Amino acid sequence: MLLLPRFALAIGFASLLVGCQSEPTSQPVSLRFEAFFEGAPLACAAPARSKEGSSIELSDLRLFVHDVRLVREDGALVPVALTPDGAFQSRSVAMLDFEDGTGLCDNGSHKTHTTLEGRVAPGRYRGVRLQLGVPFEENHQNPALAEAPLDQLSMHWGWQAGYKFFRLGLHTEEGGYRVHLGSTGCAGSASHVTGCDRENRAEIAVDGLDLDSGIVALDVARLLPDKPSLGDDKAGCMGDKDDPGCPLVFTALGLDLESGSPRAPAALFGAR
Amino acid sequence: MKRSVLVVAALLLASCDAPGCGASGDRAFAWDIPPGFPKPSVPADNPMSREKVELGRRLFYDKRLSVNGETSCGTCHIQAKAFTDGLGRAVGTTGETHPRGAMSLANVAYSARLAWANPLLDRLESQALLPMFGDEPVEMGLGGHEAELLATLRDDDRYPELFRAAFPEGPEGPTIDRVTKAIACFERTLLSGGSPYDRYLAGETEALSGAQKRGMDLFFSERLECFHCHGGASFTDSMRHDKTSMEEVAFHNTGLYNVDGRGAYPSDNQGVYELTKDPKDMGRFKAPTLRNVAVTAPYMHDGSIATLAEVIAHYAAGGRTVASGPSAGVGSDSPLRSEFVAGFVITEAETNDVVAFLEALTDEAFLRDQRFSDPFSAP
Repeated sequence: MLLLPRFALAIGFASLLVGCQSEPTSQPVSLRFEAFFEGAPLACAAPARSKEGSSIELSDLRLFVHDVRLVREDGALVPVALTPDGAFQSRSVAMLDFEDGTGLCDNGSHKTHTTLEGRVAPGRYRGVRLQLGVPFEENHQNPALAEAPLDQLSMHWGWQAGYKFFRLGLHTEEGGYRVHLGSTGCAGSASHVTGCDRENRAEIAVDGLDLDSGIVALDVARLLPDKPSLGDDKAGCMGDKDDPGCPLVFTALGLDLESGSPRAPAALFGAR
Repeated sequence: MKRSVLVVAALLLASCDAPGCGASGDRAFAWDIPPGFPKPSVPADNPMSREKVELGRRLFYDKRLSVNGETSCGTCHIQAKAFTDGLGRAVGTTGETHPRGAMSLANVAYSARLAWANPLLDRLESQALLPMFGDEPVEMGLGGHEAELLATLRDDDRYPELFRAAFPEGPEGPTIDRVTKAIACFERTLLSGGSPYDRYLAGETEALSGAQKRGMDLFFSERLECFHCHGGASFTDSMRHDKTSMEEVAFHNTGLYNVDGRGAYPSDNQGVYELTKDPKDMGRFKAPTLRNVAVTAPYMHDGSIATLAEVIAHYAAGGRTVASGPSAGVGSDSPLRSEFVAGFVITEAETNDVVAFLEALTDEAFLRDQRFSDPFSAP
């Protein structure tokens, strides 16, 4: 720097000033997510009440998202560059974390992250598209060496040599309900997965969203049967296509149970 | 004869133990390989060292590697039981029962795949994460508590120095990756090849009794065919070592269950099928090592066979019949049963001989070897 002639520095400064007066190349994005049960807010240590009157308590809600795009007013999909924060967001993957260590929530770091932060090309936007899960290129690495947010071992599914894309835990007076989702039927070895029979990456599509004041709502009631029998500790869906609790969950996520491919956007997510 | 060819091949391989020999990059490490055994394969990113082994041993037996400080790897992998725990199904630190039993770690260095029925799990370093951080079921319960564990290790009297010695390069201090690498190094040293059978192979003709010799002949006979799946130096068929270019990986359905008449196993334990969803993988499990089998009862992935004599009866029948209850079924009618489990005729005296031979696979020195024992308990 010291070697630059002074006039070159002056030109540099002038360019900066000119730059400040021209159009910004990107605008910030803060996409807020909130959890609900049949429209009532759901948080750790703040149970909701179901239509039948049961008390529903959250014990875990964590998920990965990637491939975030905003829907411009003309319908174009514009990619969002995630802002890495060394904890919940890398450039390519973000983790939404609702479990905060209170009440029954005691599974993770107790820090939460419910707003996606990033930048997008300037414009007016009315919706968002995301993929639920971790992209294949990052899903099968050694989690002990992974960068955040893929360094949280409770989100790793070592048994299937990948990550848990979505974790939900609910409790009622009758018992527990758990949903785990990840890629299954993977081949190769833990050191080198060559592919998975069921990738299980759901698509999230939310329209009619006010990007400034609106939120993306996760209504977890959509993942439960109408009359949930929560007496069995094994109630729910562990991402296994033979699990009797999974057809309903996969339908709510828009995923085909047999192929693991998305057939429709996940009904779990909506605008508020 | 199959057995002597294997021994000769193994001796040829084992003779190359001069420094610099072998591709595993651990020139400075002095393996104590049993006579006739090949050198274990070691991943390139985790070469062996005495310091890593010592750190790994301490971590292996450290109960602070569990959420409630009550369970270490050594809690379910007890040296005196060849690193099993005598339970049909293991129990985690918060009381959750695992569908399967803890597997023996004797000669785990040669295992091409770990766990009873996981075709993906090819590295000890990857396997270690499962009991530590898994929650289906909770085993050591560390999921979400990584930071606390590492703080505990950093604040300990001895670990900082042990980590520095084991990992002299790179940033100082414990990491989860270093924990799993050190434990894997320790596990790779758990080599068992000093049983009466091994001494017999080395030329000590009196090392086996008459019954044991008869049992040995039966074990390796075409009538019983035990050696088809329980063969080689480790008495298993999922094996690799330093010189293998292709690893052997095999899983078998032995007709232990047939709950639906079409070969299904109980829904909580369907073997490789649980991962691949390929119908032909229903009920397929690894053939574990038979070394030290006399001290690793009960048997099978779920501990559902109590004695070695009953194990032999299961194979003699060509698959077990479960008379009643939710798992009832005739295993020998299973269409998914391995072609090696066709059944055989065997007398009671012959069964006793085979059991006697299996008892000759117990390596007493290994079960007591101080190098593998718990450094936290007073000698």
